[in-house]
Order: sequence, then structure tokens, then C-alpha cells
Amino acid sequence: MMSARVAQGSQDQRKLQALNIDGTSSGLPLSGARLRWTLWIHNRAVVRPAINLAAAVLAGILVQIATERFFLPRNLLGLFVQMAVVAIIACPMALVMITACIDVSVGGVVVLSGVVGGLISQAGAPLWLAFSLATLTGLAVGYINSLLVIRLEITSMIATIGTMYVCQGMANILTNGLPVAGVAKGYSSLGTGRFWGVPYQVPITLAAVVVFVLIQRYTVLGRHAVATGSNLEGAFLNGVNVNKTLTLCFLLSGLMAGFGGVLYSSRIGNPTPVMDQDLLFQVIVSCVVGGIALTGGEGTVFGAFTGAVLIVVLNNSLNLLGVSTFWQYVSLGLLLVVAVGLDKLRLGDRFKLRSSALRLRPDGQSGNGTSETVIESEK
Amino acid sequence: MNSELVLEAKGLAKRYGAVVALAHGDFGLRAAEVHAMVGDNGAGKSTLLKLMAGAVRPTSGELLVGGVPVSFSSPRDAQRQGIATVFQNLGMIDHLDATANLFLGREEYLPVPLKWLGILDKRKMRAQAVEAVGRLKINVRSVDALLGGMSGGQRQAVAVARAAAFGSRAVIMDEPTAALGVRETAAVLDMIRHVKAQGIAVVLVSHRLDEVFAVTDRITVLRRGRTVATNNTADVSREDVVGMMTGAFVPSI
Ligand SMILES: Nc1ncnc2c1ncn2[C@@H]1O[C@H](COP(=O)(O)OP(=O)(O)OP(=O)(O)O)[C@@H](O)[C@H]1O
Ligand SMILES: [Mg+2]
Repeated sequence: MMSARVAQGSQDQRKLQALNIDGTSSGLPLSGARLRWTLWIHNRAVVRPAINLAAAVLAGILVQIATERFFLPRNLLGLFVQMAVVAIIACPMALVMITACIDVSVGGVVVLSGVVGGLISQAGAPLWLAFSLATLTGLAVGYINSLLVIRLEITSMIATIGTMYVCQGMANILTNGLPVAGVAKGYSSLGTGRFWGVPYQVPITLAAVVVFVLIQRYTVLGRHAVATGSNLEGAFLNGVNVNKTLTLCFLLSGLMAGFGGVLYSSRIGNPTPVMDQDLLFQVIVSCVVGGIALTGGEGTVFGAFTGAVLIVVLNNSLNLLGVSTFWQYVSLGLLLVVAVGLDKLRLGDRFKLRSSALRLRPDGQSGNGTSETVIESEK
Repeated sequence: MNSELVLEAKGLAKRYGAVVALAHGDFGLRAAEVHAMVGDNGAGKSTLLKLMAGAVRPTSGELLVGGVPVSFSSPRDAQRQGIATVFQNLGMIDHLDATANLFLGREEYLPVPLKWLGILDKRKMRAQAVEAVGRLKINVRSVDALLGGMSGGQRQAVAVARAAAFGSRAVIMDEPTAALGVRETAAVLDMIRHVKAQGIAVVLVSHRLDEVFAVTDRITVLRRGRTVATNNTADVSREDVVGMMTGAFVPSI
């Protein structure tokens, strides 16, 4: 009976059922645009990015009215350049956070990879080699992170704080704490070059976002990341290779952080062994504002990207309005708290309550009566 | 027929530090039979099942699939041998929909160049999920619904359907009806008969003796980590089984 209903129902009807909304019993005969609207406002993966993008556009319009400078092509491209490194690292970070882990080593990796790239270029190697080896440095750190988390079972937060400091220290040791001088002439081409007036960073960022959105939505890695983050033991028992899933996520995170380091140092022009603390926090705030829960299983890569967009637009807006950097920190902090707070208010829904209630049950059994209680009463 | 065991545990034991969860587990599963495993709380049933399902590794003892000794290092290994399991404390994923849960660890991929990239054939999986849900008469609103939004019974039904769909040799169920209402319980028992009719063996752990006597061919009793005896269901009474579970009745082997 069920299958017949599903098979015959329209695409919308199907999705409505998926959200456990009963179109008929609500008294409103939902159809067409109205139905689609109901669907959308109940889909968290849609709502969060939509709110972020709407807020970014709204901020842009207000600033445009006030200063007439927001929607200048130069400003918009500048936004992309500011966002590039954060967005590129936030995409794989989203995957890592969906598995209920976190990779805070990315800040250190960016520094180390930049320095490695600079030193290799300084030694006279061609740029492509310097950039590739720098990116692979990130991949190596990602692999080490995965070993620490999987083999030694160190909490990812702690493990990656460790590797973050090791990376930062290594970068300083390699350079005696000084900026790397004498890199090849074209070193800054990647970060500052333009193609028909469009910075290379724009297509690079868009490509990274598209690839990671596809990975999350259409590949087994995306699905297994959710399973691993939502219920680690359950995923394992169901035959998910959780170690492989975690390893791949950390590898991707390290790889993109390595590449982010190349971009970052290339933009600045000379690699410096100084860690940009803001970078890490902007990445994490992007993810969280984008709808990713630290507890795992929730959120999307695209959401994280919209988080990055919102952050950079807000910072840019405040810049254009002439608000000091200090207030930009305040706004970033408020944004984070408001975004998460709103979520808690909005998600007074059954799923949230149910799943937390389930977790509280000592026996982990769901539903009406546990086996134990049934047996007790039978005996 | 007697010697044709699909799955056999010979003196399996599992120790967690000082705790002996299973001291000596013997179990033989014949093709196309429904085999009950009963025993008091803490008798070691779930432990024995987990060993047979590859979820934990035995401390000692031997496990054979189709007469061949095997050593499972994860449930995936067991799944590859056609042994699917419904674990006692649901291993379902709240944040994935019913289809994704049904196919977890057994995903269908698009044709080869795309398969190498791990790209899923979502349409095929969904169609098969709709088909399975209809065939097994599972009462869920939609295969696209997140598991987290379902009732305990619906979640359990999805778990059972999952095992029934993917166990080509044996389906192991650890108290599949524990959280279910009367109607849902009947549906699960129907599902068990259905699986058996397809020539697949079923291991059923349950504390509800009425359902054990209703659907099983043989009963194995565990007590304090040891297999007490295995009997044809037709040859024993409820009292015998309860006696074996509590130790009041020791069968002469
Ligand atoms: N991971 C573990 N660590 C320590 N002890 C364990 C572990 N798993 C099981 N045990 C112990 O092993 C014994 C057998 O447990 P098991 O879960 O197999 O019992 P059961 O027969 O399935 O009981 P129930 O009917 O309550 O499900 C229990 O005493 C339990 O405390
Ligand atoms: Mg048990």
C-alpha cells in the first residue's frame, strides 16, 4: 500500500511525506507553489543556506544604499579574494565536522605549506613543483591526523591541536622565524593574477566548492560521513568502513589546507611563518553558521560555503561603513551566537528532541518498551 | 541435511578484561531454518550473535561459514559472506533516510568509471527500497523520510527489512520485536517466514517464548555464557525451555 502511494505520488508529495508533514490533515489543501513553499521552509539543508545568502544580499543592499560602493565589480571580486582561502578550507572541514570530528590543524598547515612552497621555490625549483609539494605537505599532515584519530583514538580536537602546533613550530624552524625571501618571480601569480580582470581565485574557489558539494551529495563518502558522524557504532555495525571514511575526510581537509596555504602565501607574496588565528576560526564559524553541528551528522558543504559568504560580506560591509576592526570581531561573535541560538529555537522539532532523548536512555533502545522492561513484567 | 550447516560456532568465547561475556558458545545453523536462541538477561546471546556477525572478535573458539573456518574482522566481512544482522541496540542512522539506511554499507553505484569515484546510483536504490518496503509491508510514510523522525517500531522495521534484503545466507536478529506493537510484531514474524521461504536461514533471539514457538524450527538455550542444549521446537515444551534457561532443568546430552 505504501509503495503504491509513493510510486504514484508526485515528486512534491513524496518530499512532503519525507518531512513527515501531512499535507491533508493540516486543514490546508496544499498544492503547487504553496506546497513547494511548505517543503522548503521545513528543510533545514535549504533554510540555513537560504537565510545566510539572503542576509548577505540584504547587508549588501543596505551598504550599497549607504555608501554606493558594495555592488561595484571591484568590491565583489575583492570579496571573493578575501573569502577564497576560508571557503576552500571550509568545504572539506564541513565533511570532517559531519563525521563529528574537527580539524583545527588547518591553521598550522596553511603556514607550513606556505613556507614549504616558498623554500622550494627559493631553492630554484619550478613553481608547479613548489606548489605541488606544498599542497602534498598538507596531505601528509592530514594523513597523520587520521592516524592519530583512528589508530591512537585521540579525540580529533586534541590530536589536531597537537599537529597544528607542530606545523607552526616546523614552519618557524625551517625559516628561523623569518619570512622566506627570494621566491621565484611568479610566486604571487596564483594569488594576485587575473584573467580578463577576474582574479584566478574566483574560479579556483568556485571549482572547489562545486567539487565538494558533489562529493557530499553524490558519493558514498558523503553518505558514510553522515553515518559515521550520526552514529559511529551503528555505522560500523552496518558495514560502513568508518576508518576509511574518517581517513578520507582528514586527507581532503589536509590537502585543501595545504593548497589554501599556497594560495595564502601567494597572495601575500612571500611566505611568512606566522599563523593567522582568524583563519581557523573563520573556517569553523563558516561551518557552524552554515548549519553544521559539532555533534556530527548534520549540515551540508554548500551550507558551510554560504556561511563563509555571509562572514566575508559582513566584514566587508563594516569595512565600507568605516566600522573599526574591533567591531568586526564583535559582529563575527554575535553572528555565531545568533545563528546557533536561532537554530535551537527553531529546532524545537520532534527529531531533535527524540534523538537526544534516545541518547539519554542508558540501554540505547528506542521506542515504546525496551526488551528489558517487557521481560521483567513477563517473568 | 544434518551436516549442512550454513553457519557454525564451535566453543566460541569472549572475554572483556575480567568479564566473561561468553564462556562456551556452540551453535549450528542449518539452511532455511529458523533457529531461536533464548536465555536470561546477560546469558551471552548478544555476545554470541556479535561474534557470528563479525562485530567483535572471539577470544577463543572457531567460526565456520558453510563448513569453512572464517575470521571476521568487521561486520562488512560477514555481510560479504551473506550474513546480515539486526543488532539489539539499533545500529540505524538518524540523519539518513530510510533508503540510505537500507543500503548502508551495501550501496549501489553508477556504471564503472563513475563507480570508481564512489558515485551512488540513488535512483536505483530508491526504487529498490520502495519495492522492498511494499513487499515486506513496512509501515513507513516514505522511503525518503529520515530515520530520526520515525517511531521505534518503524525504525526496527527498517532494520529488519535491511537484514532481510541483504542476508543471502543467514539473517541474524537480536530481539527484533522487542520494541514493537502487536501489529508490527506480526509483520516481523511474517518477514521471518518470508525470508525462510526464500531458503535463507534465520537466527532469532527473543524473550517472547510464544513467538519463538510460533516461528522457529529449533531452539538453542544459553545460560551463563554457555550453550545448554539445542532441540527441535516440536520436541520441547515451554516449561522445558524455561527450565533450561533458569537451570532448573538440565537436559541429558
Ligand atoms: N562490551 C562489554 N564489556 C563488558 N562486558 C560485557 C560487554 N558486552 C557484554 N558484556 C557482559 O557479558 C554478559 C553477556 O551479555 P549479552 O549482552 O551477551 O547478554 P544477552 O544474553 O544478550 O542479554 P539480554 O537478554 O539482556 O540482551 C553480560 O554480563 C554483560 O554485562
Ligand atoms: Mg542481548
